[in-house]
This record gives sequence, structure tokens and C-alpha cells, in this order.
Amino acid sequence: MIDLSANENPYKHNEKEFEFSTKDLNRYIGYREFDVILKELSAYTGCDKKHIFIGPGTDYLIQKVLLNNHKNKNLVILNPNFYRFTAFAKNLNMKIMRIQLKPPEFKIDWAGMGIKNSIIVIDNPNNPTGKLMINKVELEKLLVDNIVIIDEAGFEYSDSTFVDMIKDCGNLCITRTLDKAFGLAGLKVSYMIVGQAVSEKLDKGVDINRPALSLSTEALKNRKYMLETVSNTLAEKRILSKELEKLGFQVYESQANYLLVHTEVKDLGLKLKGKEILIGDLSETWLGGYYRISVGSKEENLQLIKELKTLVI
Amino acid sequence: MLQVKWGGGDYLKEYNFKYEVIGETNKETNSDDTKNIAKLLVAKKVEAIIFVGGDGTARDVLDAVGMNVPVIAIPSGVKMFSSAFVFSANAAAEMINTFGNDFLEKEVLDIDEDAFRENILAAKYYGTVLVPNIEKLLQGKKAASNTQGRAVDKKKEVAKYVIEKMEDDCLYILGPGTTVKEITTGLGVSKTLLGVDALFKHKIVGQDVGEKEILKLIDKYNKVKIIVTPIGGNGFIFGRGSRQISSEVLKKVGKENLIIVSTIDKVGSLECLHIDSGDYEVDKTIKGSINVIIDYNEEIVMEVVC
Repeated sequence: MIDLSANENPYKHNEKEFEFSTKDLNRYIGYREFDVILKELSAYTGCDKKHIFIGPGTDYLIQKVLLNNHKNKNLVILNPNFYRFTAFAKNLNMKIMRIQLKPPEFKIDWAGMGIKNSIIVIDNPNNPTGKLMINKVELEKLLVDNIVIIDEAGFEYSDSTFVDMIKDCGNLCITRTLDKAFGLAGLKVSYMIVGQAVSEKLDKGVDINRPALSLSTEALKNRKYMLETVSNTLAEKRILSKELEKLGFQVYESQANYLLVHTEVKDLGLKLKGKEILIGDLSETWLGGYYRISVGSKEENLQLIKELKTLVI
Repeated sequence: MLQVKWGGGDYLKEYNFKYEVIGETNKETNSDDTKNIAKLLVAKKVEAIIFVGGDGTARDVLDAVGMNVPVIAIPSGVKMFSSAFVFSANAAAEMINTFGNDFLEKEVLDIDEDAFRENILAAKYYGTVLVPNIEKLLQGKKAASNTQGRAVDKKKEVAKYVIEKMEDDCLYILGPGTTVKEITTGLGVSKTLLGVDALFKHKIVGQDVGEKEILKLIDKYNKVKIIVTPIGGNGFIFGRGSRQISSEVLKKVGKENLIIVSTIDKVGSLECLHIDSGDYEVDKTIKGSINVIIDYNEEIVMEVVC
């Protein structure tokens, strides 16, 4: 089965890339050990380590912000989204406000929304559209009356970040992950860079396990895999995009490692599944005829195009 | 053009259109007249048939024309769930102006009367017509309400939330549909499925009311809100299925007093909501962002397009 449904990095790691010792598995992680990954992330992001929090997945980190800041606040999210923290927010009695994304631009008039007293989560680039959803001026205005969490899970592909605003914007949080560009989805390690006002309310516990800590630190020290695979994916994305357009798909420009496409071919997701290829089918949860295709390896993409030709021609 | 006592030919005289009268009748027109004129138009080898009506007219045209001639269907009836319809007269004008050689097959539907008797709002496939390929100007087809599992639970949660927010000094005009009906079910009162009803202090004060009755009720009560649900598949909140809530009614009640309810699976599958009240100026006051209640304490911001 070729899985192009979850925005994962398609490239395998070299087994020799990582060294992991089992000798301390009987011990909890000490703060001094934890400090090593914080220093690596500080070097990678250019932010002071006091602003950085690490956790098992982005949902976990966002829940941490919600738990400590939810009083009298709404939660604003985009629709569709692939987060799991909305049930958590409901349990905190937060009012949830979704904003429907509308083709072809998928743009949001943030100023016109008049959002106040909210925690706003914006994935940038957005999943599934691959679009950048907000600019610096819009973000600065939202931060006046709200806490804003920018999810930069696709940062390495988009090369677009608001990290430089962290030191001046106490209500800004930026989440990132090692799941995608670093190819560590199996470890599920994410980190959050948090402005002063929000970080004061968060506890700085050690929330990941020893294998995750060790392998993530290695990956941050040696970024060769990340740089090479991001470069490959961006090159493959351009090729895949053109091939899909040739087959009559409407392909939306994407800043991420996946492409949003629209097609009149009925039940495309099911048909491809029958050919051992999985893609993200948004027809059931969002708009009919829309699919999200992760950019795979060259071989995977060629196989996808080959099978698509049998379905659309 | 079929010439009736005061028919299409008389309208066209006023606008300097070139036209030819191809049939005449003095009696009150019925379904057979629609079919006859459509057949005559096919025999005349016209490029397209433009008709104004509801699902019933669409069925008659389909019976007579099949897929031999493309149609442009302008909605103006009681039930207009077919995806063959453009979403407004303005859209039809644009379709006529850009008429070309590319056509799509679109469905003609009608309410499934059997399902309706079981209190399920479902659409029944009747046939297919050819329409000009300008996808954005067409309505989506009416999707059946999901009457099983989660959707029903979500409707109950929506109803619970709306009931909690209801004010005792406010009259609520309730539009058609199963989501709105869940509110009255929650209150233990009875509501028509496809009609418009009025509710005050948790009691029905008007059942299956028409436009005139609604306007009278608005005059009688100081505070009035309208609760409606979008039509699944095409997203109309006003102008389809609830003509009683007219442009005059909307003008008096105002956008700030509209409560839109839906389940996320229905509204989340729509790019936007539509309005075609018959008065473009009124529609313009409602267009733009609007919140739709989709669950207990949960809303989605949708764009209303007219």
C-alpha cells in the first residue's frame, strides 16, 4: 500500500543515522538531560530556550495552552481541520467557532471577523489547502485581543515563520513538529515557542519519553536527512502538480508537502484505495470532489500518476 | 413562444425582442401546456430552452425535451431542489450571456413523498437534463438529511443550545426542515416539517403560516427572530422551500435576528450559503459572514452569497 494520506515524509531513515542506548531506560529523564534538546531547538529556531516547550504531539501542546487560558475565552479554528483538541475544549466549556474555508482563494478576512477574547488556532500553511492563511499585519491585530497559536507544522516546506515576533508578542504561540520534515512521525515529538504572557502560565514538565528525546536530539543535531528530503519533496511537488494538471485535476498552489486537488472523478479516494493507494478524501468531511495528496517519493508519485491515468482517461 | 391570453409574447413586446409565436391557448395553462410548448420548441430546433418554474415545471420540460436541447432553469416555484436550477435570475442572465458549446448533465429532483410522510426530508431523482457548463451558477442537488446516528444526536444538541438561548419576550418564526423541527420536538410541541410555524414562550402560535400571517405576527410582537436551516446540497437559507419568509419579512426582521442552524456534516460540505429572496437589495443586507449553530456551544462562520 502506498500511503499518501497523512502528509508524512516518504523517505526512510538510514539505520546508521541514529544511535540509541538502552542503558538508562529504567530512569526518568532529568532536567539536565532535557536541557540538551532545548538547546538544540533554541539553536534551530533562533529563540531563547525559555520560550520553548516540548510535548508528544501538537494537540498535546495546544491543549496545554487551552487548559491554562480558557476562562471566558472562545476557541476559533478553521474548517476543515485535523486537530483532536476540540473535544478537550468542549470539556472546558469553551465556545467553539469554526471558520469555513471557501475555494478558490481560501482567504479569511481576519479584520472583518471582529474576533475578541479567543484562542485562535491557525495552521500556516493550512492543512488541507497548503495556503498561508495570515500575514504579519493581520496577526499583530489579532494579538491585541486574543491568544493566537500558529501551527507551523509545514515550516520547513513553506520557509515561512512568525518566530521573530515571539519576543515582542506575549500572546503568540508557534507550534512545530518533527513528524514531517524530520521524518519522525513515529516518535510524535512537537515543540511550541511561546510568548512571555502565555508561557508564564505553563508548567515546563518533561513530557516526552527517553527514546523520543534521544532520537529527536540526534535529528536536530544532524539535519542532513531533513534538508535533503525537504529539497526532494519540493522538487517532486512541482512535478506531481504538473502531472495532475495534465490529467485534468484542479491543483491548488501549496506551500506544504501536500497538494489539494479538485476533480469531477467520482469516488476517487475509494477507487485509488482499490489500487492500493491511499489519499486524503475530503469529500465526506468537507467539500465534494476535494482530495489532499501527500507528495510521495518519485516512485510513489509515478505509481499514483500511472493509476490515475487509468481512472481519468 | 406560446401565446396565452396575456402571455410571453405580450411581455416581449415591451422590450423590443424579436420573437415568433408558435402556439396559442386561451385556457388556464397546466402541465400539458408546458410539455406541448417544450416539444414545439424542440421541433423548431432552438439552441436552448429557458424556463421559469419549480421542480414540477422542470419535470414537465424533462418529459418533453429529454437531453435533446440544453435548458436554463430559472427557479420560481414552491419546491426547487433540482441541481439543474441556476441559483438566481441574475445568474441565469449571466448564463445566457455566456452561452457556448459546453454542457453538463444535471439532475431533476422532487421531494420523495413517501419519505415525507415518514417525516424525512429527502429528494427523489427524476431524470437528467443538459445545462450550460458554468458550474458556479448552478445549485447543488438537494442531499438527503442524514436520519441516522450522529446527525440526529447533533441536531438534538443544536436544539438544546437554541432552546437554552431562547428569550421569553421574543417570537420565533421557524422555517422548514428536520433540524428546526428538532427544536420544537425538544420543547414537546408539534411543528410542520415543510411549513413555517411561529413560536412564542415555547408554544406554537401559528402553524404553516403564509407571508401575510407572518407579517401580521411581526407587527403584533415587538421582538422577532427567524430560525432556519440551509437546504443540504445547495445551501439556500431563503428563497427555496420557504417562500413564506419573503423579502418583506426579512426586511422587517433584519440580519441580526436570523438564527441559522445545521449539522456540521450538512453545512461543512457547502462552500457558502445562498439567498434569493426575490429582492436583491434585501439579499445584499444579508450577504457576508453569518454564524451557523452546528452543535451545543459550537458555531461555524459561513459566507452568504446572493
